Amino acid sequence: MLFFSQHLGLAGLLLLATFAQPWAGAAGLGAAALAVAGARLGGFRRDWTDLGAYSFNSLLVGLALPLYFAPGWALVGLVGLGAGLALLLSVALGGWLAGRGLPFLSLPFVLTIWLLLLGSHRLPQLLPAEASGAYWLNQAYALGGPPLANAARWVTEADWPALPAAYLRALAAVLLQDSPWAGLLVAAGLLWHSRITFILSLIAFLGTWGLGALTGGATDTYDLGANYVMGAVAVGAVFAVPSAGSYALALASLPLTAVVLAAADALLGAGGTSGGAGLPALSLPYCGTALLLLYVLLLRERPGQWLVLTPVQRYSPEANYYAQLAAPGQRPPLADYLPLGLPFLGEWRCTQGYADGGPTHQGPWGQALDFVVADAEGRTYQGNGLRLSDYYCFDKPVLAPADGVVEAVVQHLPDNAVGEVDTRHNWGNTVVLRHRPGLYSQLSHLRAHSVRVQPGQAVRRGQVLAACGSSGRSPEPHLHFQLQTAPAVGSPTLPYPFEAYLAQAAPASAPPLQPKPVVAATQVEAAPAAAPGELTLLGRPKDAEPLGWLAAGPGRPWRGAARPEVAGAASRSPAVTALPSELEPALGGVAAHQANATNAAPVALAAPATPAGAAMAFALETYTVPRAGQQVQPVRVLPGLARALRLPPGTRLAVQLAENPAAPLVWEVLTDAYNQRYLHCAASGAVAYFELEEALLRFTAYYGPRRGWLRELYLAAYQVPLCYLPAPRPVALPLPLLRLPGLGWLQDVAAPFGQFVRPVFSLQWPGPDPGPAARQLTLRSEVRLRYFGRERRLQAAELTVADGALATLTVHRAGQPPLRLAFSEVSA
Amino acid sequence: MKLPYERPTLRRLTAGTLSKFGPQAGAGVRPVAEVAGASVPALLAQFGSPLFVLSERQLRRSAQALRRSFGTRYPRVQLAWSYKTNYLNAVCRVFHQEGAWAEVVSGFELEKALGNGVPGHHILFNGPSKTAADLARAAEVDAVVHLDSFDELRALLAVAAGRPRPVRVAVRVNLDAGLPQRWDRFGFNLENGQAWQAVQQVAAAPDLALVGLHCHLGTFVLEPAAYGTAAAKLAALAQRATHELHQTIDYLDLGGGFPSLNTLKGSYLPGPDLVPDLDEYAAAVAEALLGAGFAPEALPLLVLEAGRALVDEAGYLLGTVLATKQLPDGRRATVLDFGVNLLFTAYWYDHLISPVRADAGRPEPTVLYGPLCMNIDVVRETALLPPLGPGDQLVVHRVGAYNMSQWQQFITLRPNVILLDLQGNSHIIREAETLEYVQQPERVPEHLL
Repeated sequence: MLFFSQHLGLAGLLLLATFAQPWAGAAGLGAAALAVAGARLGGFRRDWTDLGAYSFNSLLVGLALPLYFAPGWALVGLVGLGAGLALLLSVALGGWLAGRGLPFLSLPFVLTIWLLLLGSHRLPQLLPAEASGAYWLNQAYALGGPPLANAARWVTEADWPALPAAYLRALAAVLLQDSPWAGLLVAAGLLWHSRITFILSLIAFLGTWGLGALTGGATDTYDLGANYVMGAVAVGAVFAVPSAGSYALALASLPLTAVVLAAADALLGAGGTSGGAGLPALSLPYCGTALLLLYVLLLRERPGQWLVLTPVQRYSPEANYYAQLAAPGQRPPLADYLPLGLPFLGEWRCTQGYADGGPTHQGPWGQALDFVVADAEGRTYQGNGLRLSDYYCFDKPVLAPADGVVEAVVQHLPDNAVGEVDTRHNWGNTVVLRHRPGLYSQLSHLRAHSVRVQPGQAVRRGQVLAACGSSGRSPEPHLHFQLQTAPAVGSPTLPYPFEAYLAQAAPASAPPLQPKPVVAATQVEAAPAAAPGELTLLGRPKDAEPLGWLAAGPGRPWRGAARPEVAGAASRSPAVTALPSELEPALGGVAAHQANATNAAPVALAAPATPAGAAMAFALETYTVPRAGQQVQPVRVLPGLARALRLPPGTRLAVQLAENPAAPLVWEVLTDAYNQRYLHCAASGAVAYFELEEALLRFTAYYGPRRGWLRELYLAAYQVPLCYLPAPRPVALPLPLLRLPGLGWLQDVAAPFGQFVRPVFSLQWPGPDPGPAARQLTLRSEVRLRYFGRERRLQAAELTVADGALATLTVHRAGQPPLRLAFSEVSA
Repeated sequence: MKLPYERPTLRRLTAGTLSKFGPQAGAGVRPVAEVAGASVPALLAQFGSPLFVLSERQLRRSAQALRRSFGTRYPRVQLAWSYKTNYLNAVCRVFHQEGAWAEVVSGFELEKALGNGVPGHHILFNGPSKTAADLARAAEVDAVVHLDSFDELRALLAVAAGRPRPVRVAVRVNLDAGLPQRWDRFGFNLENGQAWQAVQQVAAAPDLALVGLHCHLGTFVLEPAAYGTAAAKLAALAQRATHELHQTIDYLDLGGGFPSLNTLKGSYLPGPDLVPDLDEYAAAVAEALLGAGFAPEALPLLVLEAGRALVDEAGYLLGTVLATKQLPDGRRATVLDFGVNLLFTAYWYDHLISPVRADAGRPEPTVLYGPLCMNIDVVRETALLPPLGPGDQLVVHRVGAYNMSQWQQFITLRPNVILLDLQGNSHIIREAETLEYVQQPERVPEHLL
């Protein structure tokens, strides 16, 4: 916790480093133990206690007090007091700051030391500490006689080059030690724990050095470097996801820290320079800098991509970084996201997307979608398209996108003849649903008198509301869909993503559309100037405040749909069979996997695999909106797969070797305080967090032993769409999961600036769509590592689901016998 | 003067009398020189006459149109290609590529589907005549057996005993959907309680797993509402099974019977004017199923066994006039090189037949005879066609369904069948028969050699 870490190796080295001064080490250990015991007895947050969040300040207090007071019983008592005080302050500050999304850092430590120092004047039993060097030698002499004393002197006074020594002492100073050796231990621990932290500490130190050289200030006061290093690490790697931007911020924090430090020094009079209170600044400057920057960043309205604050603290910059890489745009953008589904069934085409510069969705009405049904050739009608009923989407059911209450219904307007528009009644027949206060959805241009619901009626997601028509400003049948913050028909639009849908890019080389029989009426549907009558009639609320998404909670950037897709263009023609598989699916959802999807078409069909059905070329999209030209359809979840992977809390799975069914392990599904589900292996203590969404099972984190069976499941089912997709888009795995010391560390060093070691998880469905009634499903997954243009397969796994339950898992790795696991559900 | 009594008579309407603008405006006189983008004379020159032509583009379009019609109205729809309608492997594979399962009605078709790479669990085994061997094979490959009778249930129980996994079964139901002609010879009747009895017996059998309910209303059903009624009745049966027997029904199979645009014999209006759009069937079925009271996540899969509606439009028969003559009643008659031997559906439909040559003259009612030396070989009793001479070519439209499975090797041999792919290339998918082929299974006893 001291270095924002949960790394045991680092902890061990730090412990060792603190014992560079045995008294201090013992005091620190004792204080930390007291704090943990106190936190447990006090019944404070157990998870924070276990993380060490409540005890590290006590540890620091324990480490610091021997610097000021000579060892003795009085000191022991003081340490106990200090530990308790630090705990109280930790809990209190934690409660106060957590509400603002801020950490309390080492503020309790600073306050505790100040209080104790100020109060210590009244305790004559406390003797001021001797000069540490002499004290050290006395101890050594007493323990080992002259040889040890000499050795100790050599060790402490060895001739270190100035720069590294200053760096190491700065690191040691974090633990309130003054020894390059202790610093060396800390540095080694940091490198072990996190390359990013280590690099950043170096950068910060060198930056400080340079700053000192520029200003001519005294930078060799060793413990002052510590503030710079800690401040830089906190803002550059821990509370922000490491990136070029965060590194820049870390550098920018240095002068800030310098100013705060100088001011604190002057104010408190640590150096006795002025009439201050005679208190040391300790880590106050770092806390000040880090909290200031963090708070300011939290208050950004449009966080942007340059500097992303860590959404879930994983206590390792690497873990934060790779987790962020692995899941761009894969999280609900809002904490209170309303799961939104497509308002129709089957395949539709989006003809106007958000702010696409579309012809009719403009200005405040820009975040709306238009849908039609189009065939493989891109036509929206059959025959000559002169009758409304020639249009595929005409009279098709329009569904409620989410649960809600019907707010308004307009259904008396006639459908226009093809090519004509009704500019007086801009929106035509419309249903507005209220989902939440301030969140409404509007469905427009419905068929006359087709609305089946009444105002005030509660509707469920997927319920049929009306039929698609061509009323209002609609030259041909289509469905207009938007979300808005106000209940009035035609309110300004609100961007809001769908939970999940299948999308296929528009054919790039689509055959030219048949000349439309319609009048090319320039349709300006929502521009207010074009439809003044309608808008004034309905009274547009002026104070409608957009909420959600853009103005969403801080630190939850929503990465939009800016995802270039391989045009699934020709994928409907057999020519695609010959598509080279070099069309490599790029990482992290950069490119769709559609071309490969067709190559990997059903093996069972003896015919050369061709793009059977359009369904083959679809890719799963989550938390985004369709773009113009995309063919989209709702996800058809396979009931058997969903049942097997739903894993409600309380489920217990018995896992055993298929060959040797003795001694099953029991995994249990539990939830934590944040309602995150995880699988917990009682025997090994391994934990695998997962999220189950409408259409996707997604493992999010694994903690536990490297060879655990749970990790095998985690890797084999890292991300599984719950619907049939022959070859879903490969996803990036977080690198630390694979524990590759050589390549991995190299990647960590360069992490924020580029990724050249990429572990990729890919899934494949052998065979054709099993259909919802299939008894057994088989999923193949692979983990591949790509680095420097090379590719290596790390493992291949096969997961089978039988009769709606997980059945077996087989993992193949090069050079290892295959591991076969069998699952069975245990009744509790 | 008293007029002599004349008995009232009913006379069949002949084509051409519908339009007040006279025969010139009648259907069928438009010359058609190209089918699916290919020139008719060129195809006939290359592959010989007569010739069956199938358009892959149209096959795919039809399958996609069906998916569109039903898929935009109901969340889970599955097509099972009705093999008997046209089981040329190339045709079946086009549909399988479009995602269709297979609906077979005999052991022969079952093997054909397996040979086309359809996984066993995507084969629905219908039909009233399943032998013990057929049932065993179906059980082995995990096909779904659509039970037709209690005797078949007993036979299946014997076959299923001792297998590692229960055999998957659907119960075929016949019901009153309000159609004048009720198909009650297949499956178990719903109204008299047999269907429920069968469901109970299957549910009680540990060796069988009830996965679906099936019904098939008839053929060329022109009444979309009947499908709605059938869907509602099947859904009610499925829910009864769920509530009373705790038996989830995975799918409801509404069979086929959807019409193509052909004109039924005796129909007052031509097919395109009469036949409802597939969308209307979809609307009726979806309405019934969505309103049946299933929980949204428990909606059963809707299986459709469309055949004719998908393949008829994609098939053409090209042929040549052999001779013409004047009948005693003055009508023109034309002898063609194809007849009911190839065009079995000539018994059912007044096929739309177009001349290839554009400037053939003024159309008049013509009788079209086939080449067989049989009185029944009439392709059209009367069709409006311009005067044709020997060597003139004709195109018969909408012949994709049933002809290439019900044709006869009678008197003469069967011709080439070609498929025009999406690029317009032609592929022979069934070669013209030869004397050796026909005689290959024949054996002549020694004493006759």
